[in-house]
Amino acid sequence: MARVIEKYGLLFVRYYMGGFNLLSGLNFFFHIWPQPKIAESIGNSYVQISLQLGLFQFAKVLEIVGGLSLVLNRFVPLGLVLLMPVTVNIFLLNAFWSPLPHIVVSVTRNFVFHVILLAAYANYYLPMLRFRAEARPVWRDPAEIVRSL
Amino acid sequence: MASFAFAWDGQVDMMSVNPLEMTNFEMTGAVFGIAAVLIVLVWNMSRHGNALGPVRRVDVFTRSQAEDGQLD
Repeated sequence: MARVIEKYGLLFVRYYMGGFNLLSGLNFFFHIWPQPKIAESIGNSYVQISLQLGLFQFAKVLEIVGGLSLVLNRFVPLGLVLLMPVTVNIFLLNAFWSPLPHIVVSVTRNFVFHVILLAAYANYYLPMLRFRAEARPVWRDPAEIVRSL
Repeated sequence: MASFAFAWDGQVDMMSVNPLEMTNFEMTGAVFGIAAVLIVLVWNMSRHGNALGPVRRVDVFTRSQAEDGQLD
C-alpha cells in the first residue's frame, strides 16, 4: 500500500508542478488568462527590475521548458534543476514578504513539492557528492552525451 | 464554507488559505495531477490487474536452464 501511495503521490506532484509551471510560462507570452497582479511588497521592486533586465522573461522560458519536461516525463532530473532557481526565487520573494496569505501558502507548497521531487530523483544527483572529483572533459569524447541519453 | 472556484478572470481571494480556492495556475496543476493519477490508475488496473503496474520478477540464475514455472 505504501508503494502505491508513493507512486501516485509522486505522479500527482510531478504533474502538478509540470502543469503549474508550463501554464505559468505560457500565460506570460500568450496571455491565456489575465496576468496575476503583484502585491505591494518589498519584492515588487525586485520583480520590476527583473522585467527590465529580461530575467523575468528568461525565468518564464525556464518554466515552459521545465514544465514540459515534467509533464512529458522526459529529462525530469534536468527539468527539476532548470526549475529550481525559479522555485527558490519565488519562494524567497513571497514566503517572507508577501502580504497575501494565499500566495504564501502557494509558494511554500510549490517549494515543498519541488524538494519532494528532487528527493525522489536523488539517485541521479548522488554522483555530484563525489568528495574528490577528477575532471572528465566532455570534449574528449563528445559521443558520451549521446550514449547517456 | 469551502468554495471551489476556477478563476478565469484571475480574481481569487488572496487573503484566503482555503486550498480549494485556487488561482488559474494552481487549478491547472491540480487538474493535470488528478487526471494523471486517474489515467495511470485505470490503465494499470485494466492492463495489469494491480495499481503498481507490471510486476517485475526477480532474476534467478541457475547452473542449468530452468523450465518454465520451475522456480515459482
